[in-house]
Amino acid sequence: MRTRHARRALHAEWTKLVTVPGQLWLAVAVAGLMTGVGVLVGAVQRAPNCPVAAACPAPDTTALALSGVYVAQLAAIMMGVALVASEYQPRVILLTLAACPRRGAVFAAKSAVGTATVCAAGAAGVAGALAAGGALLGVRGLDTASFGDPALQRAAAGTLLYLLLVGLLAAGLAWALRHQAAAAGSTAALLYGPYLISRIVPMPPHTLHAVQDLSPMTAGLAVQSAASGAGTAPLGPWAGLGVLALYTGASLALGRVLLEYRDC
Amino acid sequence: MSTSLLRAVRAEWTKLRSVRSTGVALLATIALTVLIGLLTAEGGHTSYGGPPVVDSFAFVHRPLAGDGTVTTKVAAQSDSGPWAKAGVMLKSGTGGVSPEVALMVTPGHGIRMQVDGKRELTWPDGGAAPYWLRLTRSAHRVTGAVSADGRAWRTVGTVTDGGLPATCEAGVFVASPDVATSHWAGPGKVVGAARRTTGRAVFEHLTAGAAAGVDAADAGAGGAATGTSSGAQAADGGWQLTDVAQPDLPAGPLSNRPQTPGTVHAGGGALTVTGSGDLGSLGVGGIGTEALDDTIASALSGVEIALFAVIALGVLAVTSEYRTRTIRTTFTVCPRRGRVLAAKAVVLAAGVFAAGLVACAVSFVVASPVQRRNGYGPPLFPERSLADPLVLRAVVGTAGFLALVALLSLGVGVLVRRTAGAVILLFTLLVVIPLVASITSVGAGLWVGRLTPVAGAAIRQTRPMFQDATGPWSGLAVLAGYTAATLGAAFWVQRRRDA
Repeated sequence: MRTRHARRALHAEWTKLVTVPGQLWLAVAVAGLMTGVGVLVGAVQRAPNCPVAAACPAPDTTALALSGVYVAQLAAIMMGVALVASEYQPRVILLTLAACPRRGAVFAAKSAVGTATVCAAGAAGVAGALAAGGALLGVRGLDTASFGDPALQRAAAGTLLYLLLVGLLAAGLAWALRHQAAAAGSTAALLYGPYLISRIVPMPPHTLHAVQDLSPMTAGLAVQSAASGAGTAPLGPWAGLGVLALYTGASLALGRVLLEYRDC
Repeated sequence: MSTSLLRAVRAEWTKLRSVRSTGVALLATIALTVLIGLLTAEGGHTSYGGPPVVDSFAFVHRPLAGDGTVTTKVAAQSDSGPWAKAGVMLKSGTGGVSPEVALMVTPGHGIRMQVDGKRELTWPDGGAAPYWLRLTRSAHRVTGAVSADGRAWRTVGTVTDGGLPATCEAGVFVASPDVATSHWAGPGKVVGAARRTTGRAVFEHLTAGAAAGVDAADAGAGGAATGTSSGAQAADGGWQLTDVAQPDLPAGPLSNRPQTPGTVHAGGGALTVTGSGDLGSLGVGGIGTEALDDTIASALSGVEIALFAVIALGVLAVTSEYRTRTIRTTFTVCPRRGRVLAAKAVVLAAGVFAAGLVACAVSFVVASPVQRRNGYGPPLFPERSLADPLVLRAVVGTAGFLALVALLSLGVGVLVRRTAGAVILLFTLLVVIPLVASITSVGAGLWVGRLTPVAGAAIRQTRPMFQDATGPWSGLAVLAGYTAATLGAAFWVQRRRDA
């Protein structure tokens, strides 16, 4: 009984996803922006030219090739938000819940469909960015890591997970806010806000490190750094992704609770 | 005709005013700007860590008893930095930070006369090598004079010789300060470093002696005065090279290296002197200019965050009408669609400009005392009031920047019609693309800062800095161009499509 409900809900959500062109375009955007920005960054890069070689550490080429994530995550946010908030623009949610009264099943089905799409698009994007961006960086005379390098594999898998967690974070906020622009705007503000403020406001190192460790974007993207702690946050790669996962978990829990106990 | 426009403006004003989110967004703009400006001021400290008076250079000198003059023609000066210095000097001895009067040329900052490195007179006509310089000591006064040809002399200034003993050292000196360099070291990492430079100057017709150069001993004609500072050789004519050293070197990896020893070579009637170091004090002779910050711009840096609220306001001014379909009523009441958009633009721009003006003025007033407390004081950072033209340009210009961003958002809102899409698009354009460019490559960051709408943020700059992508007015013009193009497209599209 339970599984049938779940399967039907999943089928319904899948049908919605593939029949709305906007959401498919967003999936294409995730992959395209990841790869495109990687290519652009590779194309404009120059090998560092410093008077004293010891003064400048070698650039982290893996993180550079994957820097499309800063733009692609906006498409992932839009996907997570659109998946949920489109139910509320006209109140399709009433129909959805009439057809499938188990709200948990609808919630799970949407999350699963969103996860699958972001994963597929993100994997294509990460692979494209590493292949094309990495090749260009190599052409520009920078040392790039090989695909067998465990640090590169960790960065690739981590970036994919990051995109997924960001998409789900946005979906959770969309369940809570039920408004597309509000959900997308607040997710973007949550991700970029602390980072932008830390770039503008001069802070003593321990404050800066605390901000970097606690804000979801910088902590999560620490997973891209080849050397642990040398990236966007002093946290280790998986610990950083864990911080983002906490935000995502909280946002999904809030969305789930509000969906269950609020009139729709 | 104009009454219908007025009516449209009034209608839009009523809409904007009666929606609670407008007030919230405008208040958020003000609060964010002031808060971030204050935090930036709290966290910022001047990074000048050098000694209060800098006095180290290569000095080619000989004793001068009583009154007299020292004259030379600085025939050439290598451009080792805009603040490299070469000229004539009267000094009480050869120790660092001892009384002195110096008259010098610089490659980038004209002719300057310094007293003990603490007072500075500048020659208003500028000038760079080749130039004739002369210091005359007579009756407890020292007069500096310059000449383009060695015949017609003009006085730079006259000062008392307070600290100079009866017999002082007279001669020529060469100094060249460290030059700040920066290079890109990785994503988001720019490493700054000081590069030691060596200045080189050629002095011709060097004479020093009792008044009017009676005891003139042409240095080059006398033969070899060649050597390095190690040993401080005496040469013909009595000229001697000493590396005047800074007595109180500050601790630090860059500043506690010994200075590059000076050299002197004579030949062909000229002395060629090389040396490094600097003379002056904080705010005098270019000391501390590497540590300069644009305090006014940083007091206004909160607008980079307040941008979020302005984007939301500009987009919602039109997309909310599309979402609720109010736009049909609006067009029914006022069928001229261009007029509706014009009215919206006027009301929005006025509202955001007014809020921006309040935000920027309050930010400046609140942040300035905090900045002064954190070491940003005269002479490097003159106290300025809100009425100062430079401050006024930054404050009013930044309010204009916010108004232009609101209009750009309005145009994008008309084109996209969906709130979320328009907000994310503008966010990408104004925040994310500059961010990605700046953390991945210095060059790309500069080009994005020059050519994309975010260039408009440059209007708050009040002093040129090496990291600036563009000038204040050119940046604002770029943003105005994008805004005009977007609004033009919005007018055109709105006329031709269904509401």
